[in-house]
Amino acid sequence: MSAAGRELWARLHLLDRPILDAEGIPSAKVDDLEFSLPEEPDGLPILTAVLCGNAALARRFNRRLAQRLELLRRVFVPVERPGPARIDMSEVKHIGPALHITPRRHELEVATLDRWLARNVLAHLPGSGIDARSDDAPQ
Amino acid sequence: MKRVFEIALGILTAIGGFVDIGELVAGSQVGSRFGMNLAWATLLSLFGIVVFAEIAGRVAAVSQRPVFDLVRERLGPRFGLANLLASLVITLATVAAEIGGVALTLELATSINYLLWVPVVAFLVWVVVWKLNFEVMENAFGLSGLALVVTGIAVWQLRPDWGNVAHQVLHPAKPGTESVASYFYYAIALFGAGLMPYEVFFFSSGAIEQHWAKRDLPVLRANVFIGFPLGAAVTLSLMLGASLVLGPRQIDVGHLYQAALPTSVALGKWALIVVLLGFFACTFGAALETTLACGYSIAQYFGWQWGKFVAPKDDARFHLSLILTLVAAAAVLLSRADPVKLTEFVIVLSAAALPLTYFPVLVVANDPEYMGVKTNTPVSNALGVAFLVLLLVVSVAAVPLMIITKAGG
Amino acid sequence: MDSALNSDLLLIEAVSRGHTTAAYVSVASSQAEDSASGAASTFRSIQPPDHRSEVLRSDLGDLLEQAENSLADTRIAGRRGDHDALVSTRRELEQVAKKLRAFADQHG
Repeated sequence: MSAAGRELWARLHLLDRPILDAEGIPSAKVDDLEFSLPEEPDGLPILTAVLCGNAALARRFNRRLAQRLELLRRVFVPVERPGPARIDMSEVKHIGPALHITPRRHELEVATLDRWLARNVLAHLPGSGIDARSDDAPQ
Repeated sequence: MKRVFEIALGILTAIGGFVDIGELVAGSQVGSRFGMNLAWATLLSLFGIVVFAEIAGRVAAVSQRPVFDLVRERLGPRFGLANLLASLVITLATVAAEIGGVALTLELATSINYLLWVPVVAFLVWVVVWKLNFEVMENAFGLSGLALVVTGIAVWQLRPDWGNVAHQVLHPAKPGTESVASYFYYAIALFGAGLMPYEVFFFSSGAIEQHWAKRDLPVLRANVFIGFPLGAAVTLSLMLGASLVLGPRQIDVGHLYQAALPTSVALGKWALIVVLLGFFACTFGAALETTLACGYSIAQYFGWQWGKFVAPKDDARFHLSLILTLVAAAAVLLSRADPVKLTEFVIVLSAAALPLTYFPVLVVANDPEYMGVKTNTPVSNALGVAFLVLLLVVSVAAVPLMIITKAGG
Repeated sequence: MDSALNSDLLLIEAVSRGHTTAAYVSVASSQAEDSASGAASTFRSIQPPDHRSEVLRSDLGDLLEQAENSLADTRIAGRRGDHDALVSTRRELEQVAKKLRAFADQHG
């Protein structure tokens, strides 16, 4: 990660920034941040992941609403793990005015709703170019 | 030669882009009731949109991001959401008003009831955005720019007392038959018609897309500095035509057909057909623009992909939001809300919301993190702050005046 | 009401000079009638406070009815595309408009 060692103010330099995927295309925003407590007792919390999606954003407004959105999210995502859509810091390759990540946008957890809508709603409209059966990210 | 053509098309497009259902309605209403004594309000809105567009374009060129994409990260998600919701409500109502305008024009052309046209128009708008067929939009605006020139010719034909016209424009006075409240209410309405939130969204987002398509900056500038003033000239022609033909007969403009009457009276059947074509093209283009503006502003807040080159398979949420926008707009119209009254309502609300949409532009344009060394100069800041103060005054006065005058009554 | 009558008069003037299309005239005359009927029904729903007002109201009511009939005639002619009928309703419209203006001048 090229920003290692550089001091970042989470609020100013990270939160609400756009996230650009492998092709440089806007995929999401940094809606929230996930920190983990380190092993050492007085170590600083470590930023482990960027959280995206409405559930993540809602957490900054209202806990209740966030919980409901997280539940709703599970309707679309097979439940592996509770909580909002997550991008692990290991997938972040550059932090600048925007966050650049290695995966392609349609592969992200946060893209699940979008893909679901594409396959189940828009695909039924003529001329959509969406293959309703395909699970692959289109080109 | 190709360059000249490109610039000409750009200018015509800007003319058509400036004029939408707001100008058609407000321009005619004001002309008939106040003569040219409110021309200054249109000129002020012209000044505003040129300043706005210039700043938004500069921000887009330097930061490579449209202004409203930057609002959330610069001013926080709460302010960003408030900003988004306020502009979305207004822009959605504007979509309805523009689709209403298209439907009313089609009614005038075919005598088929406008309510039957509403779903057809909404569908056509959807087809254009679904299939990414944006030459349609460019052509619509270009055509409307050309067609609406007929309003200027009509005014010429009516042989006004130009001295008198100049006097009213330069030394405006409130007509004796109107109240002070009405005078300023209509000033605000005209001003709001020229400065709707979607115009800034769209202009700054469009500036990014044109850069991606490697279009030249001079063309953009020609649009702003030549096209917009010509668009204001069309509005003023409608106003003058109404003041010469409708005013003396005490005709109050409550329907779209009255906006076309001066042209018909002055020049005849073919001019009527051309001006209706102009009405159709400018409202259809505006319907496309406002629909996209709704989709863009939602997508830019949440970080989705947006733009004229984004296909349904690229971003489903963006396209779904476009569909929902059109469905909501059609529903508003099908509930039999009067499209002309809706237009009057929307332009005043627009004026009331201007500080909210303009303030972030000013903040972002001053932020060195986005602008590098190209932040606002002290002069442009002084102008910008003065303008913001004006917008605040307009905003505070808008709703009370609407209530006092019963929406212009 | 005045505005509707005058709109129709202007429209007929344009028609007589061949400056309009049939669809336009049809829609315009219908919309003129619509805008007037709103004003008239508002007027009718108001209760007059005293006898003098009652008389006034009755007189004005008659005038408004005449106006509405004229506007309706114009609309019918307009919808049918009947050029001659349109031009002849012009007389009606002018007369009613004149009477309404006189009434307004008289009673303020």
